[in-house]
Amino acid sequence: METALDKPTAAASSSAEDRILVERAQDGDTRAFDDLVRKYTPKLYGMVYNMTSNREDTADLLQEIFAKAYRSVKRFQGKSSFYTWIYSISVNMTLNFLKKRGRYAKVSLDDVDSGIQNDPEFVKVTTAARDTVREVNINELQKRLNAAMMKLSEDHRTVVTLYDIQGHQHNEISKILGVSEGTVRSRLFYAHRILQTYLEDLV
Amino acid sequence: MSEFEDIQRLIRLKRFEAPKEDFVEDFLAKFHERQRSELLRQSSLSLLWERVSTYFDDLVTPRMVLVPAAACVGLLAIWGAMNIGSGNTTDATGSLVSSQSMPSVLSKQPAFNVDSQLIREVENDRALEIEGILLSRHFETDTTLQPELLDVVSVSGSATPVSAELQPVAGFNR
Repeated sequence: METALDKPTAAASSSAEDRILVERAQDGDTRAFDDLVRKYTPKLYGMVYNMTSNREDTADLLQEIFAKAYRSVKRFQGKSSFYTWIYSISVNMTLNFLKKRGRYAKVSLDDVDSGIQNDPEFVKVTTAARDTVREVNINELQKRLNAAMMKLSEDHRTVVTLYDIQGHQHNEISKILGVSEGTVRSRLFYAHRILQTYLEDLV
Repeated sequence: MSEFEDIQRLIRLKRFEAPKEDFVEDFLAKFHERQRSELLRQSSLSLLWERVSTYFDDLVTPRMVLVPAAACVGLLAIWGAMNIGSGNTTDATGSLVSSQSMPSVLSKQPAFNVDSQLIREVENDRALEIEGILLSRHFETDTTLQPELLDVVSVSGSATPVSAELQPVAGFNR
């Protein structure tokens, strides 16, 4: 499971590795592009999934994203990292998809990894709940979190997904979205405030 | 620490929602399949284009091109003529002016009204009689005119008797 924050050295090494793979892909090495797909699929899946709340849409959209990246990789000049580039493509395509899909969409959630049982936050939420009237199980918690996320605007949901769920830094999100860091922080602040109103009984 | 730390920790639990382990390899297989089908579609289109081009290159000689080209030009000319003759109305773009109506001044034809008692008699009372006489002149070999009808024909000016002879006009060809 991908966890939050990458250390700078790991990020640098990852970036150098990406550059080599991209150069090979630009020379027509399809296996190099496959390696990029393998590397970025879990990360991009998480981003698209938390934006759409539908796993079938996520898989389809991810195919479109990598197909577009494959068509465009020869034009990639390395002005930004591949990581920023592919994330920018993903965010733009996801936002366009959400605009086309409209407001009412069928929710289709992934299973929750059993590792959540060991997460301190989950333990805290569920243990606290046992002493009260409410009972919170995994499925209910998943639905509550998802519903709260879907209350957010697409811009707010994007920054929450990238920052809170995926663990990107403000400056990285700023580059991906093409907005200032101040805008990222501002969106996060308002998004958290909205989330708190919907989830305050769980915290 | 942020005032929303609790809510951030809570929302971070969403990272445990994940597809099954074999998702990535299945996804990659589907991606390859998609790439192949795109390539095949592109190559089949280019193959079809190549075959069509080759077919026409072999088949069409300059002499054979002339006949259909002439036929096309002919059809276009007929079509154009029909369009012009079909009375298209002028539109806002003013593309055609051929079917514009005649100016109102020209469309007014001068009335030929001569108020004459004799004409009225011819038209009203003796019309049938004249018709009968004219028909009889047409079918009879005897061309003698009845004297009472001669004045009518000569006065009215609008009806030329069938039996009248056309005389050459002097100096017509000058």
